[in-house]
Amino acid sequence: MTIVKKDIILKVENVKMDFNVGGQVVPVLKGITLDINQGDFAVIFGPSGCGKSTLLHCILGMEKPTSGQVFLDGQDLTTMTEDEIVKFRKTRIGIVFQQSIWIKSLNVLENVSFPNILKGMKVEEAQRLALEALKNVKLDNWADHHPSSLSSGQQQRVSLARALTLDPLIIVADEPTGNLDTVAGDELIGLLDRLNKERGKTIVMVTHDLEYMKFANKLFHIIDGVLVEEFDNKEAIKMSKTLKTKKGVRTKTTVYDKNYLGSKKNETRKSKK
Amino acid sequence: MKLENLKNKINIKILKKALIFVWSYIIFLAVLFVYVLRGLLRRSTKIKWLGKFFLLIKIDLLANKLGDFMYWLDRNEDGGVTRSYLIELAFRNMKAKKNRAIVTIGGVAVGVGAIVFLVSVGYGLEKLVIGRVAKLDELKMADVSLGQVSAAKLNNDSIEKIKAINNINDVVPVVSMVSKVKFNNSILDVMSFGVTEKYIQAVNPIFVEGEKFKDKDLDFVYSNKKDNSVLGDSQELIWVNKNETINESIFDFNVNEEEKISVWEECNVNSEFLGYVLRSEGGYVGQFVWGESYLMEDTKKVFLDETTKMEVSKWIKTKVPLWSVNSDGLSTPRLDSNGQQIWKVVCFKPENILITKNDGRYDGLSFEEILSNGQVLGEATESADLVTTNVATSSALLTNEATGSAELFGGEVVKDDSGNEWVQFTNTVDDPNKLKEISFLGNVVGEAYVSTGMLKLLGISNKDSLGKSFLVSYIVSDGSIEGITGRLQSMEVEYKIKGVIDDETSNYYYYQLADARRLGISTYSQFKVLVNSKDNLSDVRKQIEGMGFKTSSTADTVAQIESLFKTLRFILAALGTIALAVASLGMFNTMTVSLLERTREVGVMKSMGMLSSEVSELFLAESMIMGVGGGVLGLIFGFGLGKILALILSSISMFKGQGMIDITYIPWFFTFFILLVSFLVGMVTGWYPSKRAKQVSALNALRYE
Repeated sequence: MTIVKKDIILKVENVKMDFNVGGQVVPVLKGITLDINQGDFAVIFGPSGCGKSTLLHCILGMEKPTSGQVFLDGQDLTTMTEDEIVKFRKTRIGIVFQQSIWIKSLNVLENVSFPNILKGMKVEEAQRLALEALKNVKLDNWADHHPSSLSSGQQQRVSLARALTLDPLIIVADEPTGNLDTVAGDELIGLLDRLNKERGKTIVMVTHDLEYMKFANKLFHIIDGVLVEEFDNKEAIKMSKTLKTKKGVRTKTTVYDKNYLGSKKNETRKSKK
Repeated sequence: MKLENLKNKINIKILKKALIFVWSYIIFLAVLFVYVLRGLLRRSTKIKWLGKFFLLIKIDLLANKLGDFMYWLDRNEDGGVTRSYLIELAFRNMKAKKNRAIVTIGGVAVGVGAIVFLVSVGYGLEKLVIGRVAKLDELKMADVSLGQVSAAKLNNDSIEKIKAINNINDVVPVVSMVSKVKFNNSILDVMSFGVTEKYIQAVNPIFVEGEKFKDKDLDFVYSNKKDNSVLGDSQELIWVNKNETINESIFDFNVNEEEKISVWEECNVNSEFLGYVLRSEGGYVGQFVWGESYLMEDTKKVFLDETTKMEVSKWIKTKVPLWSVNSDGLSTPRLDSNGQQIWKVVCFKPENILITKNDGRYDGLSFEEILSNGQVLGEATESADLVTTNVATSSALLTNEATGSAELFGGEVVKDDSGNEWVQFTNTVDDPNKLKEISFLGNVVGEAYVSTGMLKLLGISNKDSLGKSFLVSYIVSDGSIEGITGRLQSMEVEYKIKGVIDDETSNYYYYQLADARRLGISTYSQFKVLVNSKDNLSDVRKQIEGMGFKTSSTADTVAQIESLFKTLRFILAALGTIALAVASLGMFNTMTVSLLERTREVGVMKSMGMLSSEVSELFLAESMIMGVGGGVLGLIFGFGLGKILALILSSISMFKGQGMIDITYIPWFFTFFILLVSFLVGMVTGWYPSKRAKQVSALNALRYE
């Protein structure tokens, strides 16, 4: 019996996930345990195919882990039915995907108000909240536009507004800057940081852009489905500085330093031994 | 028992589920209807000129009220997305792919329109044909005629019997006869119908000229019963024997002062007119005799001869001196060759005389004896002569008459041992080819309501027809008059045209049923049975047929036409269904493509917290909107196409001088059926894509490229 502390908003307990690929069972998550507290800005990072997205999906309840438990707001997602999870999700989780996907027939304001309408809110009220959320991401002037006519950076900010509008317990962002250039990416992360710092929003972000780690107060490093490292805020800042000094100029190519991580990996292995 | 309970429980559960399912769709349709209505109302306020008017009559407020009603209909305790929003979203999705939606809906509209058009033409043609064949009321009527069973008869008793059947409003008799119509020296054979006002009401012909048919003389009732009981309210039928003295004693009488009474050789106005009889001092001796009928003032009583069924009248037979009257009104005695005033046994009508009650003087004496007794005026020898000769002649004449009537009615004259001639009727000597003339009992009404077709035949224009008269002699069918068989023809009577009925196609006239009754016709040709509802007709007919009658009705023809058109409609509908099937496939394709295009959208909606049932509802909503929309448009389209066709046909027929033709007709239930079908098309074609949308996981949907 796991006792969930009150300030722990998300608790992942020994989550294992196997995929069946061509008759072979491939373990993707090999028992991951982590806690995220209220007000955390948590970053999950790791190489491609390490299972960080799968972990995120488990946290979102979009995928059911083979074993283990995911507690969100004190409730075990793994024991819920799909509909229960969906209902749970629409009141508590705001999601920002790597790519913005829109309901093509609706404009920006309507897209942003959609999550609240799903909750049964009247359209007028939902749009009022949506406009507020758009103001937060400084895009209220674009409310009447079709989202696909916006730049990808703007689209991601609209995505953020959409996640924000239902006043979620936790914002989950799956590589939100993945398709953005640095300026747009910085802007988006800046917004997330501000939401975290000024409004105390709990944010869980998956990224492999190490530059943004400095905003995090918690970092989870996952390799091959195993949580290899967990940093706190100070280490994160330190790490981003090391990266800066090491490479001098920050570019997209430095997003994931294999050598750096490789050395770390070895360390952990050693320590494990 | 337990098992049964369990079964019941399961059944109730399934029933509940099904009810909820159906209910949810009804609510969906209601919300859709209100949504569209609200949309239309809101749109209406934005029309350039009319918009202001609509705003003036507060259409916008009505739209808002409708919106409130929609939200109320749509209230959702679960806190999920509302149906109205799903409908809104569906409309928005269709708007985003305008052309595709238009083409898809258009396809369904064409398919539905094809069905509606073809089937409406089927219905319209059926209606047209039935309208030509039968009026609406005729479906509540049946004609009853004689069946194979000879025991049944179409007489008054049968009317009462049939009337006793449930659901029958009335039974109306009709006598149909061929009548020889004489007009302007030409003779035509025309159908004639002896009817009552009720019959006319039932058949409801269109009177173009003249007055409405009103029953006249209907109280007259003919009966074969030989008692002298009062039969009708007004007329009494009395059976007597012609040429027989009336069973009253011999009486004294005298002619009223200043009166001259016409006398005839025989008791028949067609016999030799002999002159007049005047008042005399001593009076005369007389006796009542049944003779040839003449117009009597009192028509309350009708006297009939038992053998010939012909009407007879009361005459007085007496022996009187004869007078003649010259042009100045002076009377002079008629003299014989000897210069003596002629005394003769004569007949006259019992008018303008004073009869003295018999004091018993003549008891036990025959009329002849009294006359020969010389108790009357005149010389005995002469009177004896007179008696012998005159009685002989008169009886000889009577014999002639007997021979005449014997010929007329197929009897023969036979002599008995004492040399008296008698008319003998035998069944074997009936010559069916011999025409027998029958006279009317009393006076006929003589009013005819003729069809325009008959007028045409007579060469009279409709307007001039009223008041024109023609002579009619009815050809009475065998067995119509009881007791007489063979070829029967009525005596000639005059008919006046009282009304004109709009019917160009056939030649006939209606007359008062009483006229036929006065011919002695007691069995009718047909009954018209009026039933309270057309649904009860077949049941009533079965019961009447059970009595041994034959029934026929326009409903039979109509039923045949209906079954024919049912087949035709089925074929037409099948043809239309092909079009609809093609359109449905098109719609299915559209929905499937639309799902594929929007898979990632489905993913994001699901990840944002849209339940899979809501996603599937969204897709179903879209396809059902397209289906119903196509259905409504198709109805309008098919209806319009039918009306255009009707217009074209009408203009052609108008050009040719005929009336309007509307060959399309859409019954209400068919409208609902079509809407239901289009709704089902929407559901079926949307079912697969919506199922896919429901089943696809959010993650897979998001990853879909």
